[in-house]
Amino acid sequence: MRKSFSLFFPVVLVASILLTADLANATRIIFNYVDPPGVGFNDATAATPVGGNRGRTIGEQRKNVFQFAARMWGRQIKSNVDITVTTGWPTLFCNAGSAVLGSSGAISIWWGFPNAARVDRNYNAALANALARYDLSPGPPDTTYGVPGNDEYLVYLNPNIGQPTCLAGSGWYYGLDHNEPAGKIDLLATCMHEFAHGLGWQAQFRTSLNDFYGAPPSIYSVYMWDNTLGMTFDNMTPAQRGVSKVNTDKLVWIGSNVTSQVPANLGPRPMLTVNSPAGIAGAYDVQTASFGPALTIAGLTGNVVLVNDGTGTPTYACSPLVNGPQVAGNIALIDRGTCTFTTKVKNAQNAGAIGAIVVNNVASGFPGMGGTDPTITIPSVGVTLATGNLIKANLATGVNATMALNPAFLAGADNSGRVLLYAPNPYASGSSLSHYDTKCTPNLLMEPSINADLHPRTTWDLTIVLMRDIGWKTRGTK
Amino acid sequence: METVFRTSRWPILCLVIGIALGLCGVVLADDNEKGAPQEQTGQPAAVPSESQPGSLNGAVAAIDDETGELRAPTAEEMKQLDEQWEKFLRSAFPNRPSQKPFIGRDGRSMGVLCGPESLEFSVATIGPDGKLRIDHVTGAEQAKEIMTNTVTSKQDDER
Repeated sequence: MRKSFSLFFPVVLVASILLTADLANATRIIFNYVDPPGVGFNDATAATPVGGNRGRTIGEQRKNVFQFAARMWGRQIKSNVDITVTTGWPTLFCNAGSAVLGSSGAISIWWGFPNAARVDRNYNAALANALARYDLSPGPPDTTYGVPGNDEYLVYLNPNIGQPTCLAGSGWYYGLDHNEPAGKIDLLATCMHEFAHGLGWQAQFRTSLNDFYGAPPSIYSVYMWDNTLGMTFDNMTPAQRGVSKVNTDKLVWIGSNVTSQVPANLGPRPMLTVNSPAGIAGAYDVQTASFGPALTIAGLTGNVVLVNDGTGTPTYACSPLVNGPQVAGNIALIDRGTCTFTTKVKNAQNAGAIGAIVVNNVASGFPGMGGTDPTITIPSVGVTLATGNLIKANLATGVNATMALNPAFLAGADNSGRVLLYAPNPYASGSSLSHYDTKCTPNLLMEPSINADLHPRTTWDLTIVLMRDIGWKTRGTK
Repeated sequence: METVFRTSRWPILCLVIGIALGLCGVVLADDNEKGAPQEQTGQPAAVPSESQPGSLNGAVAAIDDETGELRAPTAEEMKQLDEQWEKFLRSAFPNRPSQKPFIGRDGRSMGVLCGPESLEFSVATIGPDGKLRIDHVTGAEQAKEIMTNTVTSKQDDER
């Protein structure tokens, strides 16, 4: 017992000193609260401590979440210049079925300052200050434009989430343990995500003009590589950027820090491998469905059979199949259209199919196979129209295929192992170049959706390494 | 109001705690839920002074409170959506930055103030299946668009 204690104490003491040094080096993130009394961070409504958050009012709990997120980020990034964040809970746009949860971003962008890796590229204010080692825009907040011009970034959140007229039935979860009940929104995960945008995770790209707000291209865009055009986003003409910004599955991040960590953070890619005929044999990309069982490494193999539901458009599988004997034990091939994906796959399942492939009905991209049906027990995937047509053209001679996770490729990366950036087409559907692609599996903090399986408290996945690529000195780097 | 997270106090505190816990044979755990020291100073909220463009266009759908089914929004709801969006833009950006480059106070750096077009927005919607969906989009106009079109888009995605 005595020997055990004598060994333990030095270990803990050293750990304490290391932690002390770590905290001493933490970057200060200062909040500039803009809420009026009684509102937002000043909401005095009583609250019960939840998930490690000991705040006794709604306002206190909100502050605790923000400060926790600030500590997390402050320990990861290095700057000897304080980072000031304008933050508040103004009334944001919402109705019963949808709401703006929040907004965030750099307040200003800079170039031409000392110590930048590229003097001809723009940096967000927080990173620019960190590199220059002085505040490029010192002084109290300048509210000439409403947004405090001397702060580094802003984070606004919606205080009314969960109210009857604002995403009714939902609400913020203020715990610090990522243990939000179903339907609630984890404020901590949201904060971690929004802080990343404010600290530089932004293309700073003006979509209306395909430029960078009149500034030089952003440092972020230096690492955006278009596999089709064979060039980085910053070196493109505005017309080329207009094409590249919607070049789905072709826009990747080429920063070395991220790329080196991709294999450790992404899993095997779901694919459809055509085994025969030899003329079309090979691996094809797919998009998995949100329902039914996930694909496995072993996968399932069968002959591909086009469905027939006996209607005017028989390949939609919107009605019970009339060619069940042919489909049974095989993989059903279905066309997108008219009814829900779950209806299609369920009809295939009822006919005895072991899997289903849904062919897109537009030339671009994959069918987004959303929906929920717990009674569906067969896996299903979506393929592009081109892939579907290729398979159909060979059905007469028989097509045998395997639906499986392919460990030779990574889910969310290109074939060279570079992570995809989110660039859906059409752009107007809500795209952004400032996120990783939704194909990334497991989910990443900086995908365009905050998923329930994210735990930024315990893992930074590919988040910090991207900050390192754009120039941040981070924990563990000199 | 301003709250400062003072990391400068934590090194001393953690060192003391660490030694104390070490003597007790207890590993020092991450104390994430403890509130950080705070200091508050006054900072007035921005006052709207100029209207911003932001009228609602395009497909809009609403969800029936009772059935959860999609339905067309009423004229009153449309008006409300429009007003809310205008109000948000006015409060967040009472004066839209000119986005013209300016020289920094060090006399060598150049800067541009960003506007609503550059902000990242988190948008939550309840889909036809009743599930919550959260998307992130760039720009206030994009956020508005996804809010006013998502229900329809989601409906398309289901087929």
